[in-house]
Amino acid sequence: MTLTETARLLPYHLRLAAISLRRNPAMTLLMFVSLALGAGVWSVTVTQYTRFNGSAESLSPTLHHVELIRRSELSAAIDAQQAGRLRVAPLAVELRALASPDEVRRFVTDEVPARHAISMRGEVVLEAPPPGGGGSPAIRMARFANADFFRLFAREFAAGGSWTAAEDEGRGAERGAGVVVLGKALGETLFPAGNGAVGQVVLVDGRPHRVVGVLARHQPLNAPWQLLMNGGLQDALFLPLGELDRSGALPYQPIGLAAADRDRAEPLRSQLFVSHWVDLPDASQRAAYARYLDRVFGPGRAVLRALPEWRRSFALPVSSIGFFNFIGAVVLLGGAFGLGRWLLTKGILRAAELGVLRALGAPRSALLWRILAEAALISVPAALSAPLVAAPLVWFFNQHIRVVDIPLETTAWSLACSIAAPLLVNLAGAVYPAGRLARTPPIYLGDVT
Amino acid sequence: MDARAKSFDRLLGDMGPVWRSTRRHRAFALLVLEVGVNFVVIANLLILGRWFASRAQFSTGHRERDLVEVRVRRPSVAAEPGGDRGIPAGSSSHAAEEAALRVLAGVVAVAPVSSMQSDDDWAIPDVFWAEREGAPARREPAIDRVASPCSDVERTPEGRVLGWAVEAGAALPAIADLRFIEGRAVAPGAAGVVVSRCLAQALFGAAPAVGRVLHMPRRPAAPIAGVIEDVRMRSPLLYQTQVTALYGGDADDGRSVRYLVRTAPGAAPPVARAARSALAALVPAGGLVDARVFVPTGPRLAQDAEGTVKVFVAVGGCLGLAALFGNGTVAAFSVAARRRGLAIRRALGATRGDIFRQLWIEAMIPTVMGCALGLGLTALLLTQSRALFPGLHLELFDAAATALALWSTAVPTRIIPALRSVRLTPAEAGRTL
Repeated sequence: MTLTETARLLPYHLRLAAISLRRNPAMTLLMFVSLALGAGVWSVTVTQYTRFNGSAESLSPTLHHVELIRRSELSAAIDAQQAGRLRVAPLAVELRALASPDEVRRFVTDEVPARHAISMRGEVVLEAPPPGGGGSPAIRMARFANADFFRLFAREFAAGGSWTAAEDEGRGAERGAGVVVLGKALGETLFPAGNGAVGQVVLVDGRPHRVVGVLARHQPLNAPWQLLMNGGLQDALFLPLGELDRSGALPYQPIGLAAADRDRAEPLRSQLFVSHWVDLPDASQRAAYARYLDRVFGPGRAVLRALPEWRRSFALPVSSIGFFNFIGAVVLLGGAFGLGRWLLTKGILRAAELGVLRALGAPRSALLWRILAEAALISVPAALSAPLVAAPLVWFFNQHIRVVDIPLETTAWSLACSIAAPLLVNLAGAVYPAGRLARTPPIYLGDVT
Repeated sequence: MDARAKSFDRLLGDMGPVWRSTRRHRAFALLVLEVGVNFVVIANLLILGRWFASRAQFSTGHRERDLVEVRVRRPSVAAEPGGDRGIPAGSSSHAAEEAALRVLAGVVAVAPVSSMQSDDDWAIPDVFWAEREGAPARREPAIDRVASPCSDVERTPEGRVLGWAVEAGAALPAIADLRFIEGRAVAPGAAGVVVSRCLAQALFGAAPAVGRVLHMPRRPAAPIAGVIEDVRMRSPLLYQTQVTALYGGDADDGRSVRYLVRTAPGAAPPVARAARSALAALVPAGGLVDARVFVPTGPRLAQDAEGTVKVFVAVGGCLGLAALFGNGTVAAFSVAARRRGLAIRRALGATRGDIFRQLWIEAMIPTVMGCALGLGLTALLLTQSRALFPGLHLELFDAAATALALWSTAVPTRIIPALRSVRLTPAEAGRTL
């Protein structure tokens, strides 16, 4: 039978398959529910996997990271532990990204005009007006950044926008006129239901700051400026970079590579994790910037990497998330075996009917397509319902697992994987019974009557 | 020959025909594979659930009752008129705060500490190493000498150990009820460090640790004054969270300080409330005071581990339903397909018991084979997953519980429709579904 004939007969095969499924509606329903539950579990694991490994926002490949080669006892110990150990991998990345504010200042030069995204984490005490703030102060994770940070990392705003480059110095806070951008989660908490956050005033470390913008999306889990796959808190609010130095805000987790003098701030500040990225759109600009780094820091001490190269160089090892995803795939496999067994058993029970079809002239391929159509009729709705079955599990997951404060969300990619994989695996599982049953010999009609 | 022996002989006699009948069944291989992969899924949920539960129910290694954790966050200096920029030394504030805590009713002892369980975030570890005093630096042998109770210690072949350094006041050993197994606490004003058992074991094996010198990048080399039973002061970015070194000295970083407060029995809740009020008066606007009764399962790490177990239970429930429904519907067709054969056996004199025994064994054979396959696959997978979940292991309970779960979804779903079919007469049973 040619492909054209098969396509022409497809509606006929589908009708026969639908009749076959309707003959035992309860059994069909049970098999559908069984497949949908398995696909739902897969959907949860794949949603988690895509959050962990996927790139939630497409960023410019011309973004470059500067790594200063810096050997230390801690980095050597981390490197020795890193193979296959996810837990220390982000720390290794942070150690490789270590740069002091002084060094970062030297990363920026007028010799090579380029836009830089510079940011550093710190903890602040935030007090916000009711209802979200309730008037009680709380420690929040702040990112001190320059205005270009939002543009270069394509951070979209739900309301308002970023501060201006002129405000990067953070002098406004000293005059009681500071500016702040709220992250999505904090914006929703403090000003629920779009309660006009922009223009409101909050207290940061006791000083008034005006909200100029609220971000539209949560922070990606593997954001180039902060890897959170081991857990932690996303950036709750953003403050001008200069404010960290001016306000004496508490820097987040200085990395102790050498003995610090507690009476002076500088040793502590020289051990901070500063995220520094620079946009170098063309090759000549990149070459010029590389030459500049060699001259300032010494040949070969500063390594310049474009974002795709950075992702490869700072690749994370296999994670527990990947393992859970594998278990999800095994669940799908179990469903496919179950479907195959169901089709085969049903076919054996109805061997006489298949024999009659063969006796009336149906070729083997017709039986094959009929069984596959039956598998498709039950697999397609089961696969389509996977995200629906997963929805309460994802909600349950978000309620109970808060290793990061970024909720698990369905993305287009996770949705596509949630549906496509169960469909393909189930159809593959139907190939064996379809092939076996297609070999049913024609029956002598007298046997039936 | 007694009745039991006869019954056993009969069972053995049935095995041959049953095995041949089972083997001929075309869905047999699929059934074995299905049971096998289901075994892998359920067993891994159980093993991992146990692993996460152990993370949720960890022991801190100190006396957990009647303990209050206090955290003080002072406002930035620049926020006050005339203040200098930068991070100031905060010992004067620290002394006033400590004194205010000491005089509260119900307080037994107070110690400033640089970290504690309620610092609810990951922390970056420190690296420790040891060299013989006076001896030139040398490489440690690449043999891991850590005994099984310390199996999660992260130790490099060069003898560097990742752990957690805590600065603490002299009262900490008494407050936390730390148990010295070697040496003693550092004398006030003297240089020295107290290390946990796993750190001592990782660095020195079975050799004495007291008197040896401990190195780390952030602090000067310090002689080891004592070894304590493992204690967990925070959740650093490590698997083995109880590799700890306790240094004496200032636990105040200038902007924030934490205190561990030992209270009289049952006095922790009122002390926490009183501490909030007493310290609020000392901390200027823009600062923060947090005082809470110590709860070992309070930190996010423990709650996440517990949450993971709950998610596993929810997922396991879904998969159990999926298996039950899948098996039930296949079994219904499978038994219906054999009604004619069963009816013929009945007509030839087989009792209901004979039929039941035949179906029972037929259901058991693929279940047992599938479980064996699944057990092998799980053991294979375990060799890989152990790198992701240190200490993960398969227990007899996991295998038995998984087999029972599979049996309870596979066998009854086959037996129940079979029992219904053997009640039919040969004529009725000849009808197909």
